Amino acid sequence: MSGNATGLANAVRLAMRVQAAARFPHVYLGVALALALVLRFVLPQWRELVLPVLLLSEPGTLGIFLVAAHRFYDRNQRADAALLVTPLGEAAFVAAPVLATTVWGTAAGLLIQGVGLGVDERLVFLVIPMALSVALSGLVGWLLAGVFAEFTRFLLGSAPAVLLYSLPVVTVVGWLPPVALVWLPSQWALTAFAELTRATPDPALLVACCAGLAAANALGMTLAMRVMRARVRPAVEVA
Amino acid sequence: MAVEVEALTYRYPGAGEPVLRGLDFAIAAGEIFGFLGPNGSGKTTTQKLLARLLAGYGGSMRVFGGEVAEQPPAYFERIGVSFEAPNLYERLTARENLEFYRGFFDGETTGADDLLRRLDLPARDRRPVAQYSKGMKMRVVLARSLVNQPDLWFLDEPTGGQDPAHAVAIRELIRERAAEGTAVFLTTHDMAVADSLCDRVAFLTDGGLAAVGAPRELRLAHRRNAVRVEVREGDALVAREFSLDHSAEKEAFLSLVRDGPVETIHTLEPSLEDVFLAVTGRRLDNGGAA
Repeated sequence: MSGNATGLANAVRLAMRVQAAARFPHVYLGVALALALVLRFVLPQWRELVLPVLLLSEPGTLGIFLVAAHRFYDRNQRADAALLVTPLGEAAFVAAPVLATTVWGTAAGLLIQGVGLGVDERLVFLVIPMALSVALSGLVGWLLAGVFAEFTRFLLGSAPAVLLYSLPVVTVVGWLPPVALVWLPSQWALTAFAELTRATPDPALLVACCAGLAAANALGMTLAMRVMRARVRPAVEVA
Repeated sequence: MAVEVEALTYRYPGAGEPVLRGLDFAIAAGEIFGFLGPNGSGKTTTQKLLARLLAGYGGSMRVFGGEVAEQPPAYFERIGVSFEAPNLYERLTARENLEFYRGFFDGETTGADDLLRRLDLPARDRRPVAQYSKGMKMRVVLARSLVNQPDLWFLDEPTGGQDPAHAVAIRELIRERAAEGTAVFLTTHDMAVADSLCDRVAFLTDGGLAAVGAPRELRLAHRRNAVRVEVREGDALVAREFSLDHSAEKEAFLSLVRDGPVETIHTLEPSLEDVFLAVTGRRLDNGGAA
């Protein structure tokens, strides 16, 4: 591996260890298990309707808050200053907490679907859209924590983002047709999750949804790097 | 030279006045360079610029022969930064803090156990650093800054929060590293540390350098060539000063030494703090006017 790849892998391991010490996975997996068990008691015809909503909202929404919490934790302890004087690089600095959260969030998604719907090959296909969806929400959380210096302001600022992220839920209850939200990346995630509840998912639709989510992640990463250079790095406290 | 700074200026975005106004200094390999100034004088800004935490400076800052703004990521393989605050992952152990940090470097590194032992910290401690005293945390921060065996070592109040024995051990460690060729950029408010440790010091006030030189040279340049004598007169202890530049006063002093009940004799060499006050008109400890 190149130096950058080694540094990123180490940064992700560090972020996972920090998050584990702060009980992030306990929160993620605990809530996921509770939702999955509730899903077991839902009527089978409702289960396929509810599952995509749970996959979108639980790992996704938590991703926004947990990555932001990680950023605030690093900032409060001033641990970020130490990372920024290593060869790690800015991209890895941004990506590490997002990827660490993606691991927990993807595991939570698999747990919900595995326990709620049963284990079959669709669980394998869930990994990519689930990971892309959690990574996107994590990048949103990172961006918001970068823009808002105080946690209380972040909470206010994050409300519209969380609402927008969860908006596709209205298509499930029939308040809007899915086509009305076709511009929204979380709609692509919901479409992929819904497709994976069917007995025979449409591969072309899954690939299109994942490609869209990947592009949204690339855009999110670009924006996060701008925030990193303009606001996060100059504001790092050393004394 | 490890560091060459010329006409360095910096203005924070949106600020009216520049915080640094044309700094010039250089640090040789193996030199301990003290950077002294009151709060708000620009010490931290200079350190952040050299550590590439801030960008967009004016003038020139060359480190290891290359302009800081153009340095590749490998630049960080050669610098170590020990911060004033204990900025550690508090829920992790000291060893974890060091070993994860070590994983970011491709070059030669020193293992966590060796560094922890060197700084009198328990190597196999399972406690998170949150349970450490401030002095212990600061020693972990110091150890972390040495993981990559830096050629340029930034130290901010390195003996802050330490008991006398550990403060002495840290000073010895700094001298040891400098003797091995590491350039040390030391920021401190502690004049005793600066005086005993630094090869040269720079006095920074209001973004400009008021003086740069060896502590002894600075003290001698501002000394009063005089002595203070304490003599016993009855029950009272009386202090008298004699200028050694005037033959009459010198003779009076010698006479007193020969015949009088002298209790103490001191030369009136100024402390580094006195020199700072004389040069800048400000005290170092609180940043306020003298």
